Amino acid sequence: MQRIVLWMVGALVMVGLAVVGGPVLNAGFQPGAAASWVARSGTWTVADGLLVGESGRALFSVELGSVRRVEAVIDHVQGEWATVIGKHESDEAWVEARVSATGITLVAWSGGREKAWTQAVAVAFPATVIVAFAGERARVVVNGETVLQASDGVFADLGGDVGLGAQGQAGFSLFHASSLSGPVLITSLGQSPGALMAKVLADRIGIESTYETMAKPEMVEGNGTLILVIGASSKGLGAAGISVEDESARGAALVAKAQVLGWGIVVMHIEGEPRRGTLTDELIDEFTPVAGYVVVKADGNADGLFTSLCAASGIPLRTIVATAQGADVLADLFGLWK
Amino acid sequence: MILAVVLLLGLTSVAQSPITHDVRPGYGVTSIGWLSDYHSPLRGTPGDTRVYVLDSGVSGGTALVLGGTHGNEIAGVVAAVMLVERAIPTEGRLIVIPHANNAVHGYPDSRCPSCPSWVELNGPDGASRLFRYSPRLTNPAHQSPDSSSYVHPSGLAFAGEEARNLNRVYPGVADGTLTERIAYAITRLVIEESVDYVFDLHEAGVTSRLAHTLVCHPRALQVGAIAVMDLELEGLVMKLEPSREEFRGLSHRELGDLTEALVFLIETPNPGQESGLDAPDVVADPVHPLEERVGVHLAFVLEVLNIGRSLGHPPVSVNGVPNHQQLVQLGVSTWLNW
Repeated sequence: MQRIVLWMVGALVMVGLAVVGGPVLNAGFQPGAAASWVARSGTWTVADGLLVGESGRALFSVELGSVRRVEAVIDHVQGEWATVIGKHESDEAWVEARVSATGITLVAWSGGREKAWTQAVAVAFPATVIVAFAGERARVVVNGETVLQASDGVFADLGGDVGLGAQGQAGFSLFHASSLSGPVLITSLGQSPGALMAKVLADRIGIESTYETMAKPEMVEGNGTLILVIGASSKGLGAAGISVEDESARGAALVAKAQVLGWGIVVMHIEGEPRRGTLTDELIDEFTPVAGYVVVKADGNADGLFTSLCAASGIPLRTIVATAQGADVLADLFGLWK
Repeated sequence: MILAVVLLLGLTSVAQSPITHDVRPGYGVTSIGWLSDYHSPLRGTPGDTRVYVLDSGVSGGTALVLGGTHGNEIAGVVAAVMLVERAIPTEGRLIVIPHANNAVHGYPDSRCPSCPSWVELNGPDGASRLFRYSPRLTNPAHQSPDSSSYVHPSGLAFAGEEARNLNRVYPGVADGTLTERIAYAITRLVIEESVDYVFDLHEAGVTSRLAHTLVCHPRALQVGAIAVMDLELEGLVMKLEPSREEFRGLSHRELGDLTEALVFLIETPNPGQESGLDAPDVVADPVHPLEERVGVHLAFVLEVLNIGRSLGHPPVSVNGVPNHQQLVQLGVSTWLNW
């Protein structure tokens, strides 16, 4: 067990595996590799893939827009609550969600005043908690259910860092923060119709998007988000006159350009089990680890391939049962939720 | 001598007349014609078939539904008959050909010797109705013997017997084989009636990769993608496949290329088309009963029309048709005329 106790503001916690890709931060917790967490108070340790905090806060400094979401998997809470910090400009200006077994409290501190919104709800751990902000609105999602929504100017005003906290002891197994924005470039990796489905989903929620089955790196310009929809169709590849190797090379070039420009990258596999197969799996293996976020239809992950790939890279994996539910996921990711 | 010629012509005429079927038009039917109305050389041949027009009297688009392209794909036939008997258009027109290839009857099905020649559906008060269950291809007695290969006008070569497959010979040939003339007449109908939507209702073996598939011409793919996603939310799971360039001769490719219509082909799983089954029950199969398959066909037809309307395509609205759940709960017979 690697145990690092930090008392000073600004000290570094060695909690490993943090990947910052443009407007996306993914932090897994493996001992040994350095990352830029800052313990503001309390005791923070890393063991067995968990970050365990006691009576304090740990922050991660990352430049995200005001429209943002923070997602964490809270493994356990021993004590009063675990905290997911959505915005932290200073010790006098922050917003956080406190999660206990019996409820959620969203707390905002700004201008010397505290505001709080509380919702009693039974929370089962491990719990996936999302704290999201869009303009003056904020919401907290727990295990896939929106349990609290609030509207206040403070949510729009604040920005700053993101982080985690504990009152008592809390363990965390995943941390993700993002501020994805349009325009979105949607392309297929494998030339199946899944990318068109993603385009339909994007249109449904009003994201400005471009759908191009054979998108090239030249189309990655300015700011934006790249959505790679994986699904290989031998007929589709044949019709396009390309091989899966060609798709791999095109995808790699797109990813490289997106990373240079700081785009977020979302990988989707939304056609389910019928679209799995050797060719598709080659693309899944190659491109899932470069994603900032992964969306998969449940029967397309029946063998746990996405689960294992995402766990190995500390990438959040969102599972949908029906393809149409992907619209809600995109709305969540892009701050377009109702 | 003259009498003999007249008798011979008469006998020939009788022998070659199109087979009629037990179709009981409902209140939505506004006129009944023949396919030969669109290509007169078809008149008096076994390939002629009834064309049912259901005109709402309200301006809008036109949808064409083809059942019975293949004689053994019974769910498509019954779905089309059900439209003739129950549908009440409220906007635009519906044109239905329940037996698109009416020349498939009257010879044994070598692919499925144990399949029935008739399907009997039981109604109220001991009544029953019979539907022909015929082979897939045009009766060889109606067409020149098969060559070793059939070469589509595009140059694509098929096995010789495919010359008798209606869904390999589109857009048809005006003075070609009987099967080509049928395809030509359907193509003429689509053009002359300014058809906006074409639905070709098919079935496949239960383990075939085609089963549970919605094939869409590329211009129809967006509408198809939405339909697949929306109906999945209701438990109707279908794969989405685009009509590839190499699918020459097939309805969805050729009619989509030649006309402005959005063309779809729907495939449901029919145990009668599964090789290796000794006694397939094409009506009461416990996994894929007829009512379930008919329900899928009708659900996709109506959903596509709804989506087309919402996306600004010419509107066709239809009342009176049972939804999938009603069909599964109450059976096919409930929704036919007795």
